[in-house]
Amino acid sequence: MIVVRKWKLYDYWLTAAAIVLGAVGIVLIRSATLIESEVSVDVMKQTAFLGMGVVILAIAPKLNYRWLGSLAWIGYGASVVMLLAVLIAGVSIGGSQRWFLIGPFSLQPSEFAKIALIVVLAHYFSAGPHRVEDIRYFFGSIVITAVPAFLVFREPDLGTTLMFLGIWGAMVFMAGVPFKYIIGVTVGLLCAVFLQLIRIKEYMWERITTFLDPTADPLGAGYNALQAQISVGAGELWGRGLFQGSQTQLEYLRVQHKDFVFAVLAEELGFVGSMLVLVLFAVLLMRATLIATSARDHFGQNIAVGVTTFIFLQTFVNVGMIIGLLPVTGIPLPFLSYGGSALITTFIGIGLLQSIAVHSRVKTYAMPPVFHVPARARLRLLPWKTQSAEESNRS
Amino acid sequence: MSEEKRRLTRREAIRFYLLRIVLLGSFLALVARLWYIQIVRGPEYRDQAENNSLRVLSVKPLRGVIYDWNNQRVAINAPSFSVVARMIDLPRDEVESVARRLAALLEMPSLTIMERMNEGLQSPYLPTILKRDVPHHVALIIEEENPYLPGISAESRPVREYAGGDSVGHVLGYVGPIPHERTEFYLNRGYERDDQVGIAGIESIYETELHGDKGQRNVEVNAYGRTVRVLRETPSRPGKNLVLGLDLELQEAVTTMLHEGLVESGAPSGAVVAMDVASGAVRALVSLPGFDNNLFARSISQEDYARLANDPSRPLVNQTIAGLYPPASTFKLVSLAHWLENYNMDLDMEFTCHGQLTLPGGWSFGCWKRSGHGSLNAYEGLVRSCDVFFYSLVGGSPYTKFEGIGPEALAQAATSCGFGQATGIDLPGEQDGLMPTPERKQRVKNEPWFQGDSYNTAIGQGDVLSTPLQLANLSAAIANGGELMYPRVAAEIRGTDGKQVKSIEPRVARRLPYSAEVLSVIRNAMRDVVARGTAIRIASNPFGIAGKTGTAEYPGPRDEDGHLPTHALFTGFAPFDEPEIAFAVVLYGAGEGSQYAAPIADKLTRFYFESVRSARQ
Repeated sequence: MIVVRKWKLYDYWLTAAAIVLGAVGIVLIRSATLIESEVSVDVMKQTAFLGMGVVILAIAPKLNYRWLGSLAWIGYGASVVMLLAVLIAGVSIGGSQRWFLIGPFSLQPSEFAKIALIVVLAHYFSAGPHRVEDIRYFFGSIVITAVPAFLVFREPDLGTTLMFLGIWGAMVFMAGVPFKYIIGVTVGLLCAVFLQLIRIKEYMWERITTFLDPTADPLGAGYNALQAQISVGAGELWGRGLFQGSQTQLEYLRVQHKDFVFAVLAEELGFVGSMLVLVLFAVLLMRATLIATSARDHFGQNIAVGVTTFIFLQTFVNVGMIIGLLPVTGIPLPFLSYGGSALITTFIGIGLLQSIAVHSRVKTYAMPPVFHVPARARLRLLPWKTQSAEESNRS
Repeated sequence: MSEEKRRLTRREAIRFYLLRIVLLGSFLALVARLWYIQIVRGPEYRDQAENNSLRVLSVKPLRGVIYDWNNQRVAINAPSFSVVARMIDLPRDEVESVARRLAALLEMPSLTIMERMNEGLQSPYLPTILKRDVPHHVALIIEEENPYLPGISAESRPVREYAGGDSVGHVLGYVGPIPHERTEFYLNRGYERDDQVGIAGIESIYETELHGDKGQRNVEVNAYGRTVRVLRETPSRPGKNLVLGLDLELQEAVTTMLHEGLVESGAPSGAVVAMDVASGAVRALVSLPGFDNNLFARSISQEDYARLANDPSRPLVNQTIAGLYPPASTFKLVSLAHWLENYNMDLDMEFTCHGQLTLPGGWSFGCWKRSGHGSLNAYEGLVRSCDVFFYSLVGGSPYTKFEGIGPEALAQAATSCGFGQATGIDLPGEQDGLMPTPERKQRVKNEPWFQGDSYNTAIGQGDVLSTPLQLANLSAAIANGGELMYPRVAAEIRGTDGKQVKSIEPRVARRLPYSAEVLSVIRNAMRDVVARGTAIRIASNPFGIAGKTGTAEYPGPRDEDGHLPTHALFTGFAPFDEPEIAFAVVLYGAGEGSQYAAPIADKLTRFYFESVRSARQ
């Protein structure tokens, strides 16, 4: 085994961004739970989960993602069974049945189902030639996605359902499915969504309507959205200081260490802090797309695309919701929001990316440039600069 | 392992370009929006964040304490907790769950709680009271459950506690939430919706003095409305204390006496007034049946209120100032005074009483003493309370040429003695009473005045109506040399430091238009009423009691002898030599004044001089 070469190909930018984001999350969770005076249980749990994430990132390059091809359907089947089980035997919190309770921990199968879905879709399109152009495989992928999406929708968890659909859309598009299929399905989906809207749960409607004007009913459904926006705005340029935000510390902000953790960041660390976190996300996602384009096969490329979209969509929807660009949906912010299942799932995703990165260069030939990068930008330390195959060979 | 290298197809390459553009574009949108919210509109949102957490709370003042004549506290503030909601801190979608949680704690239906919360939406920043006077452990639970009960808190809101219970309910009144029809009135005076105000009695008359001034507290609150930090505080100023001329000990003793009198006579209700003759200070003011004002102060239950309001003996009406009774024979004092003053102290003219007086038309007017009094003058007429004498004195006698002093002159005399108008006591709800005149009868009933009307009026029957307080006040005026005072329950308003702020000076309402000699004769006659007249039953009283009995007929079922039912009345003063206390006793439908009312006056004076008075010396 050429272990040294593998570690050379390891994407340190990606890992660094992931760990820093996770650490920032822990600090913010500490701030959000400051009232409990001692270090809260939530902080300790999250720290433990982050530790597990680091272990995953360390182990991942030693495992070849290509093994997953044979496990894809098993993983998919297992996740569907788990989603079914949670509908039957799960714990209901706040009118939504999404969790299994295991001792002091709760397990959210819909998080792990994201990885299972990504892997099975990646495998589905890459297991044989010309599958992306074949309309039968296209519809097959819809069925594969619809099963877990429907189960999650029944929990009910609108946000995660939309995530599944988003992941599917991006993966199908990036795999190269003809535009006409995608447009046709998009139109059909919009019609279906429109029909669903008519018999949608009341709280979902409220989220949609109050998104349009959170000030209309400040004590009612718009409360969370409005308070989140106030928190963000009150941060101004430099923030009100870590552990000093009145919105956070006086609990005007609800579910703050979960879905609204970005509002804590924006209030206490201001525009500057928010920018730093967004830059970290941008770096991480750019690295992820580079790994996708440098993957040695379609399977790896598809997985990388899936993980990229999964992290990107959750980040965009979560932050967008907090700053009033999108309606309030219960989507956690990857790396930062409190939640073991979500954090582990995200780190598994990053681990997959590392495995793809490390196993992309077993060949001895040079990869053609994927897209032209101007010579002056080819600085070694820049995060979007890929290591060229020649260099890796030389070492 | 294949040696083939994988190339991105053109299609894939384009799509990856698109993907990166979408990613970066989305992040730019987030950055732009963050810039807008945090930098462009940041100051605005920071203000809102501060408005969220910075509140001005009002600090309720403590209500003034009420003391009696002996500096005994009769109304105090007892520690108690009220559960309040500040709707600004209670998100609308949590109202129902919070109300349900509270329902179990407060033992009241969640619907009622939600109704109150709804009212609270009118002033979301101010506390809306959900339940008063909750037990301490409930208050503790509410505070502990704070994260699950946003906007709900248990606040210290003292409740009024009255010593004396049933005996002082009418006089002191009670405090309660601002009545709906008075809301605007009080809000304009700086009150808040959740304030308590005096509703009846002294509490209501002296509301301005007792209430005090609210303070202010600038605080930082958390999202659940709980105060996290006090930034600045202007303390409230407690209300002024009130010292009454009323003596709690006497009040309670008189309540017992009257109660026994009611039990003995079978009367449903009664009233006793005792007042200082010189100052008009009310020493006791008892109306039975009464009510326990503590019930009202602790927010009375529906059943308790219904029971009081529907009771036929009307426990909520203060009979001493709002109960109207014919003054009956006590009214003879007026006729006698007028006669002596305007007819040269004529004690020579006599009329003969045969037990009744018959007019030429055949109308017959009886004396209470069927066997007749024989021949008597004005003085003896009062002492022995001869009806026939006073018929003749006022309406003229068919047996002599005397025309009578006439109904107009009598009405004028009665008015100058305080009949037909409220005394102006410092209690709400006082009645004027009624003094009939021929002119009024014509106007109201459209009937002419007959001689019989004069006769009826002469003995305080017919349409004459007075309150027990009016009778006591007249006795006081006779006793003090002719000054009709404004009766006063309160004597002094004190600052909380105990220093006197303002004493409520005695005020003369009017002077009786009678000379000292006339009043002296009347006092002698009143003394003789007890010594050897109609009230001889209480002659053994050692304190020189003087008075006048009254037995007032009122329309009702007649007894087996054909007599109308009667109220028992007695008014007078004591001691005879140096009058100090005046009183009036009325027992509704009890019977003879001498039999039922006078003994209570006897006991009252004994108690007053033996216990109250001697304790103060």
